[in-house]
Amino acid sequence: MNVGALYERYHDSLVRYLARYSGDLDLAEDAAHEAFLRLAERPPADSQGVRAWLFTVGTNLVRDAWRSGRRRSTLLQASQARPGIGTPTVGPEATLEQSETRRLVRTALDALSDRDRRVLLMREEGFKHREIGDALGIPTKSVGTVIARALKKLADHLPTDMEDRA
Amino acid sequence: MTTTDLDTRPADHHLSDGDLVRRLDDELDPREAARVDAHLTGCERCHSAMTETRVHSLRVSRLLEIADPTHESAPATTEPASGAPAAHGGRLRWRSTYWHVAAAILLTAGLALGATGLRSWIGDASRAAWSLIADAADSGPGDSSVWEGGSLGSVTATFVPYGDRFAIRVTHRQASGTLRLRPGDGPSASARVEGGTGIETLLVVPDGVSILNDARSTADYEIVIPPSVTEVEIRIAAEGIHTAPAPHEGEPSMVFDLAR
Repeated sequence: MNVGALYERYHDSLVRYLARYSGDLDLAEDAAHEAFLRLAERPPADSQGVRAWLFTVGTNLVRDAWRSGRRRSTLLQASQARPGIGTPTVGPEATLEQSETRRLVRTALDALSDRDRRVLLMREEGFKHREIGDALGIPTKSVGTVIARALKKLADHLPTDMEDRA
Repeated sequence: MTTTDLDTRPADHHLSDGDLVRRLDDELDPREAARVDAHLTGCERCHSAMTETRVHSLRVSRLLEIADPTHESAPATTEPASGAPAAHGGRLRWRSTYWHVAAAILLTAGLALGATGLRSWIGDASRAAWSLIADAADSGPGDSSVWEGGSLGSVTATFVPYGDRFAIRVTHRQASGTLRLRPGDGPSASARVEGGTGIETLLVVPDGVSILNDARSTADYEIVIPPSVTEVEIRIAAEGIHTAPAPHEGEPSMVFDLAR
């Protein structure tokens, strides 16, 4: 198994998924690192499902971190994210709007069940229903139904004027 | 609606929300997809439901993208303020209320090679931060600059290689954090942990090295980079910078003092 190639292929997607899942970019990067390390040390028997395996391990690492009380960003912390050097600068008004949008999306995501959140976020990363079902223990044919309900729930939790704010 | 198999479902049976998502996600086989499409053409209710599902899906995708934590923007600043550098007696100092971590970088490469031996460049937004590093390196042992909290984010440094390696020495530990080094396109780097307690994790990735620090870690990391490399991108998640006196004069190294 070429871990380097897998890293190159999946790392950014995994970090993005974990950051959206947790609301904590730093925690997401740490969990992604650890997931790849575990992949190098103890690769799954099924090399075909390595991507889903990475996402599952990463998710579990985030949840472990929460359980151990290591850290979890609050909505406010997420909206006050530290500015990264090298990231584009925007005006204060746009920053405020973006922070508010981020906060509202975070609130809506947090209102979902863990399963619904994972289903939606894995779908966003391009997973097939079979892979999502395997990762979450849901029959493949039921994944569409779970996604549909989760989409509605998320839409219900998002203010109708979100796009205007964004 | 139940999850009745599409093939056995009566033609006038409305589509379930799950069916609509499966069609939207191209999860149906061609025959199922044709049946769904045919039904959507003649059923206003299902057609409307499909439109609504598509809108929900696109809206959620767009908002997740907008609110993505992986590309947060930095607020513009014109004066030294939170997260921005300010001069203090010849030193650059950052102040931030964000995090409890103060971390440190010292480029003894600058000390070893002198001001002309170290050429750093980063984008406009990060130039100030790298100036901090370069200034500290130029100022000689004993000088110190502090960036209290805040994220270094991603910086790219252009430097004159000294031999084929440099060391990263982590003198104090943060709670946790990932440090990434990318020696530019093409050549790969190798790395090893020196000393340590067995809890340090280091991963050589295609374009660099990823190191996960642990609060209990005591190791140093030695990174070997091909002499052809002239740029290194350093990314430290959630860390500040604290430059400290050089412990390794005469050898090109980076010292990360990751202290709480």
